Amino acid sequence: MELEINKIVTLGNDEEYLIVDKVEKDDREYYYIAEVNEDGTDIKDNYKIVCATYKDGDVYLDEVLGEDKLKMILPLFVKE
Amino acid sequence: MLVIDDNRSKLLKMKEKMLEVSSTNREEILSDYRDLVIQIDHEIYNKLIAKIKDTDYNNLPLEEELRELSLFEDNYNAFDELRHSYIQVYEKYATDELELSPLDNILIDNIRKRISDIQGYLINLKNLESNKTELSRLSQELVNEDRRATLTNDKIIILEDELINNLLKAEGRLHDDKGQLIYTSAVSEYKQNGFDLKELLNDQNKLDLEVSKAYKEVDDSQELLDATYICYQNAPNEENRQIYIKNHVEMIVAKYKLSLIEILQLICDKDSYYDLAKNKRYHLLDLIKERRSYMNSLGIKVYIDPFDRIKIKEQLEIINSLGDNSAKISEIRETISYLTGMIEQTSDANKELLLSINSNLEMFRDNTNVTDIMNNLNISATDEAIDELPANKVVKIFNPSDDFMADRVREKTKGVIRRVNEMFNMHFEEQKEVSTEIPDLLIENVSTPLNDNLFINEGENVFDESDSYQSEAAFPTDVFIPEETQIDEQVYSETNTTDSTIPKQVFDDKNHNLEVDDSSLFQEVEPFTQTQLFDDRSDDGVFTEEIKENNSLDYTMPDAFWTVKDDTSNDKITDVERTPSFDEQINALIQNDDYERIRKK
Repeated sequence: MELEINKIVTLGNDEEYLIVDKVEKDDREYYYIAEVNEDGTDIKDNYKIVCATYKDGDVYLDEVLGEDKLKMILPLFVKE
Repeated sequence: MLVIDDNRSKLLKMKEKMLEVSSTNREEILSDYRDLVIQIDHEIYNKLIAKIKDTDYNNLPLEEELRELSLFEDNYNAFDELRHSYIQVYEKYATDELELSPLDNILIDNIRKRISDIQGYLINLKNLESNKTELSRLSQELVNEDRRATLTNDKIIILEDELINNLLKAEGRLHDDKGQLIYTSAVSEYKQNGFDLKELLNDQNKLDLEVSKAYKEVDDSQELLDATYICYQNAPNEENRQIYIKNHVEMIVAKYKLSLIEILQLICDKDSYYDLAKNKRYHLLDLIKERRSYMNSLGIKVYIDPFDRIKIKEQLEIINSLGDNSAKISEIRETISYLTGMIEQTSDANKELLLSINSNLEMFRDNTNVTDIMNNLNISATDEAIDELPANKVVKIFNPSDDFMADRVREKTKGVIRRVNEMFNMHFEEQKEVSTEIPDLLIENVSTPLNDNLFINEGENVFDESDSYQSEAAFPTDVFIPEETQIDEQVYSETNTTDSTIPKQVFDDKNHNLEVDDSSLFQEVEPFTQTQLFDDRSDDGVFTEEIKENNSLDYTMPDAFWTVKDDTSNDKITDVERTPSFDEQINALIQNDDYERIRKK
């Protein structure tokens, strides 16, 4: 399965996130994700902007940090 | 052979002794004992397994493989005994069981079967070789014996012919009535009795006929004699007596003739076989003796018996000297037959054994699984620890459950991102403005003319707006303060709260660095109120209301990027005066001809 909006991903630390939105910039994929609660019925108030990297067939989501990067990426989610 | 080093062996013995004699600290001693036993057990077990795995039994010659496997079995047995002894000691004092290596992973039955198969195969091979050698020898011996028998038979045939010849040439002497010696021969004797010897020797049919006749004559004469005897008995007169005597003589004659013809018949019956030939001569001797008896009864006095010239006795000696190897030949043939059967049986058995040997029986049960591999650090090629899953790795992607309120969530998140973006932008703007204030700047009087450090040379210090908000850049001492440093009071007042949605910039007094807390943009967000989350700009009024109500810096507005180091004795927010830009300051100085160094405090 691929990363798609409205899918839920489980990470290696067992946290689950809903993929809220996706943008692409400079050949990279960015996702706006929100942590899902334990019941899987709603989200918690924990949001992240992450960047997807692919290695050896696996997908890794790294949080976007830093003013410059956020300044660059955040507006893309809002416009879209 | 199985060897446990002296030290550990002694240590074990010591522990055993201590367990016996000491009741205090027994648990500790037992624990030590257990650990040592387990250590030894695992070592030996692993060595045994390694031996099986590392030895390429299939490519060893069978003899060598047998040696290796036998040694392995000995070691296994010794190890098994050792383990039992450990268990016995342990179970004397412990309530639990000693958990040793899974020895049944070593399929010792298969190993023993293989040993048995190989042993059997090799023994069979030896037996086969031995039997084949014996068979070969016996075969040769049979050939020799057969040859000997053939020679014997050939000689006997010669003797048989000699017998006939001797008979034909046989001459003798008889006493006549006057006591004179007269010539006789076998031929004449047969002739006198009505037999043409030469003719009969060449005509078997006639000979057989004569033999029949002779038997009949004997029978007839015997009957007549019996009858005559009865008559004589009944009437014992001279006449009957004479008749009886006459008939008696005739009977003897008949028997004499019969003996002659039987001798002839026997002599004519050639036989090459040893036994038969020998028996024949014995029979001939008997018949000749009978003949002599009859001849005596008939008053024929033999001086030199022509039948002695047949040389039957001499022939017997010859025949005896030839020997009879027929029994031996039979025995050899019997043995050969037996050996042939054994060889065939052994070969068949070895074919089956070889199939079994070549079938590669498993010698150990390999239960290694993924968990073992993951848990067995010895298996990994490097010393890197087997890490847990990276926290950022996507391990699963799936659809939300039917209970998941997708629409509501989307609305919520849209509002959030918009608000965050707004706040983010707002704070960056505020940062731009507030960064004009450098409360720690000191102006020093430096009376050094032509000081390049006074940033007079604008070419070196061109302000790059794009760099002005580099969070990690040291706040340059020579940076030009942006001209637009007007702080928007309203914005300031609104943003000067403890909302952590925006990364904080802390003004570092020491080096004027603006440190930005880059941790999660969202992580430290105080929970938004319900009204804040939805995209309703009218909710902004709520914020204001809350500010008024709470009158606290801790409500939900995001923090400014800096904390204002101002007079906050009563936590009041005061306005910040605009300071002149750096350019302006420098220009002022130049105009005053008083070069001042602006440096960090």
